[in-house]
Amino acid sequence: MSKIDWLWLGGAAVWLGFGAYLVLLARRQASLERRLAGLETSVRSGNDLPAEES
Amino acid sequence: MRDELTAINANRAKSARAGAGLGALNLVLLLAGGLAMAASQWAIFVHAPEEQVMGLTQKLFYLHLPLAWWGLVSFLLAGLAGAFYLAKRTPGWDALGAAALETGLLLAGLALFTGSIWARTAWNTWWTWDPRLSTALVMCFIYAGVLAVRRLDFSFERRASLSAVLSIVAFADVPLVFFSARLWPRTIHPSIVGNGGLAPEMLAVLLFCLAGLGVFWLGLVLLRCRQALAEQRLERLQILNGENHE
Repeated sequence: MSKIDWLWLGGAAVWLGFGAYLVLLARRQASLERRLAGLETSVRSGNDLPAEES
Repeated sequence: MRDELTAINANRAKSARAGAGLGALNLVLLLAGGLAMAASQWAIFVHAPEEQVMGLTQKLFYLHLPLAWWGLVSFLLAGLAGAFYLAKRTPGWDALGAAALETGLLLAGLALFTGSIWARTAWNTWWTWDPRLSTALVMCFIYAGVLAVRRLDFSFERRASLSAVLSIVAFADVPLVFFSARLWPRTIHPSIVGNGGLAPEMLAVLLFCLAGLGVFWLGLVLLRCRQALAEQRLERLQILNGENHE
């Protein structure tokens, strides 16, 4: 590999690293929002409150 | 229980408004940082002069050093957030600490990788047990361990306290990494700061790369911090819902 190829490889690694992390965060966020929406709805409606307190 | 639910409902609208504002700022930071990083690539390839001894390979330095420095700043932020969490017990500090830890590990990992490519072209080896490289690798392992502890099934308070203490203790390795090139004179790593060894054009490109990555780093930390706050809300709702077993 020539020196310019190594430089390209370094740059590509940085962009790929950040891209992969952003994809991971996006997937985590989607799952988090789905679970939050489900829980907030059930807690608000009071259907899942423990018997002694509802 | 009812009071908790009322508080959650009351905070929801407030959080949504604050979240929308932060989300817009976050997007602006990430976009501006991304554009600045793209411009940095142009500056590295076109504007930065070619170093006489190492040639084009030296230009990896403009990627490597900002990654390493912002990684160290992340770990400093994680330590500070840990100290503030222990002092104030505010969940926001824990979220900031978690964000800084994760972002710092990503940046430090990328710094090690770009450094390894540089070593391969400059010294004809992917890795050498140089003090700077060794202390940086140990630092990555330590912070990976702290992140692993954060994944354990503890209660929020216990996990946040443990993570805060570990983040503060782990920071002891960071000055060692930074000053290793001065502490161990036999290192093959050059000491850049204060030596005046950079030509003005090189320094300008380096500062531009540092600033561009800095904006992107801030966007990443903020993004992960908001997500960590949402994770805390989920955990709280799970407890209210009786799903949490601890």
